[in-house]
Amino acid sequence: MIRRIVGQLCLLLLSTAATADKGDLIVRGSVTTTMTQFPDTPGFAAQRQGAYAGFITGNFWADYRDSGDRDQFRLDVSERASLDGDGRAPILHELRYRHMGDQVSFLVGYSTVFWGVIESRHLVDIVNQQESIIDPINPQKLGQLMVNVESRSDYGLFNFYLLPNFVERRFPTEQQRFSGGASVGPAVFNDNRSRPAFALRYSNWFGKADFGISYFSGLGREPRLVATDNDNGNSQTSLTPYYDRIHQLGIDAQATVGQTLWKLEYIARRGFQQNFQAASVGLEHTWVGIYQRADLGFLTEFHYDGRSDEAPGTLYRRAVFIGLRLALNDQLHNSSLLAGVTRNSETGSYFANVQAETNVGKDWKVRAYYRRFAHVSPTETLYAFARDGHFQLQITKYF
Amino acid sequence: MNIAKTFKLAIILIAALATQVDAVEIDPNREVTTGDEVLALWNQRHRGYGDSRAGMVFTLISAQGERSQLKTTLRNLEYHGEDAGEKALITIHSPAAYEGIGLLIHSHIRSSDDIWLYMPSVKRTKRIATENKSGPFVGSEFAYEDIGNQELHKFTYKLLRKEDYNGISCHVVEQYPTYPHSGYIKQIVWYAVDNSQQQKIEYYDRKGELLKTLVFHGYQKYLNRYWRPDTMEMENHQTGKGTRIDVTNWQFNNKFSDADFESERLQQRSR
Repeated sequence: MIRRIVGQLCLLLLSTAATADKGDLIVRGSVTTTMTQFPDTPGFAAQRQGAYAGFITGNFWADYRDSGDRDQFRLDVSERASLDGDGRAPILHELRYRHMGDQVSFLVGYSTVFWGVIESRHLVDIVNQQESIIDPINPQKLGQLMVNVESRSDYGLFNFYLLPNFVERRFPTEQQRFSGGASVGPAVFNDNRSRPAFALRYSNWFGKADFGISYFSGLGREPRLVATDNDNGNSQTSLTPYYDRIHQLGIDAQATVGQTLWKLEYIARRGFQQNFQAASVGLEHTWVGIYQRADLGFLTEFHYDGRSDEAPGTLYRRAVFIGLRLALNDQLHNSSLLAGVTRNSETGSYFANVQAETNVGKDWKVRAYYRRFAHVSPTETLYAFARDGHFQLQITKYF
Repeated sequence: MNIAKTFKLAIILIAALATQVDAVEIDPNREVTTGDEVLALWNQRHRGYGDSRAGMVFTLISAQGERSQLKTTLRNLEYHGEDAGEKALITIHSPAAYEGIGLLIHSHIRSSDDIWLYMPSVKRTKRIATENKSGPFVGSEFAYEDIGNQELHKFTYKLLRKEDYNGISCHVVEQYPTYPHSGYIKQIVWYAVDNSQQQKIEYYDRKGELLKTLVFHGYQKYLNRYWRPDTMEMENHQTGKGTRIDVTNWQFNNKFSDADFESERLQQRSR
């Protein structure tokens, strides 16, 4: 069924692009080399020794629009090859058709949606599945098949999403870092997997305030990971992901007061072992014109999460994030730095994240990351990653 | 629905009244004697274009003379409300690392502008605090406030003198920003007597020192009425850096609507 829809979308994309007279087709790609160095030896026996890991990611996208920007087709795929022989991982980000009308727009196909305003945690964002790799600032999203209808009126924007398929979270293999040395077995669904999910979102802005109210009903994107008994007697841990049907109400809001952005995200979730509320509040203050033209931002965010131990694991239930963002505005280099520390208020553990990026020449980009975990207690989720702190260098060439 | 419609109608009516009060028709053949009159005439000649679309190429020039280029599309929608100024949408096409970035500006006449930036790498639209509008746009010598549209009420005006600039007879007007958090204490602008078009702008920083000069070249007339420049050159005197904007393919009557300039749709406009 899904394969047929994808096939027909491809045909539609090709035929429209071929018959386009005044439209505009652009095709782009990039290759990113990622090298990671781990200062600590792995924390689990199953994990491969060795301080280095590397992979190459190829990204390809094509975007077609008619002359009035009303009809849009887009294909966006990535393919990742690990240098350690951990296999390849193609990711379909987008394959969709969108028609934009003045009042009503619709989208059919695989797409990516982002909701929310908080930097260090994404509570409200729920439509897409993601990879389970530690990049809380910007997790890699997996495309979600959807029919999206958007209606615009004097009262704001209404979005309806029908989400027919369910994409499972991707986990590292037990040999890789960030796996906790555990292998992840086949998923269990606490509901009929093929029953579609749906989501609604209302958003609007008044003066200097933007806000959104959303509702989601369907299989939750976060699995509960339950350790399963191993019959074959070895000591290796095996985890089974359980996906439950949930209903989630979300609110996100941002107000701009002077040079300060005030941010709020709140969710209330119902579902099997998942009746809880969570909220994040934060602010971001920016000073411009530091050393003539640089911008310096200060961020702080507070997280609260009322979930129980039986609910899908989360890194923090009570945490404080403090960060600095520096943008040099150095012409097209556009160099920037984001440095932040999250402290788990329950356990006293720290997660530090520093990322810097700059554009080099016409179509190269260099990114560097430093991530470190400290004072992690064996009782918290973060313990599985405690020895996986790393330096990472990413070099991207655009075509 | 009815309440919203009535409300909208009221706004339109108020706007119409406000426009009538503002628009003291200036006879173009009469000698203007004050800065306000120079600007009223400029406004008279500028208004009524509806919408426009153009390609803009930014050439960023470093202090050492190295050049890099940024290709963009600019869309504009004219005001139609009491406090609603023009709306501008800039989308970036190249270089590849910048492709898909979108900037949306809703200019306001009496309150500060609303600015949103869409970053395709994270698929997020972020509000920019408008008190930060003196910051540079994508590392160029143009600040966000230089890119937003000039609205009559954003400045107070003083006519300094009449002089020839590049062989064009000009009114030289000193203008003081009335909006808070401008990076400038004042601007001096050369308006052509003939067609009111800006020929040169000098920007003075908050210390009162000359910061930048913007020069306009190659004005052409569209729809028999509206003048648009082909080239704008900004020079930063304090850093030695420069930015040149070449504008191509001005198109009018694109039938743009408010829907095309909605912050929630910035992502869909960008690519």
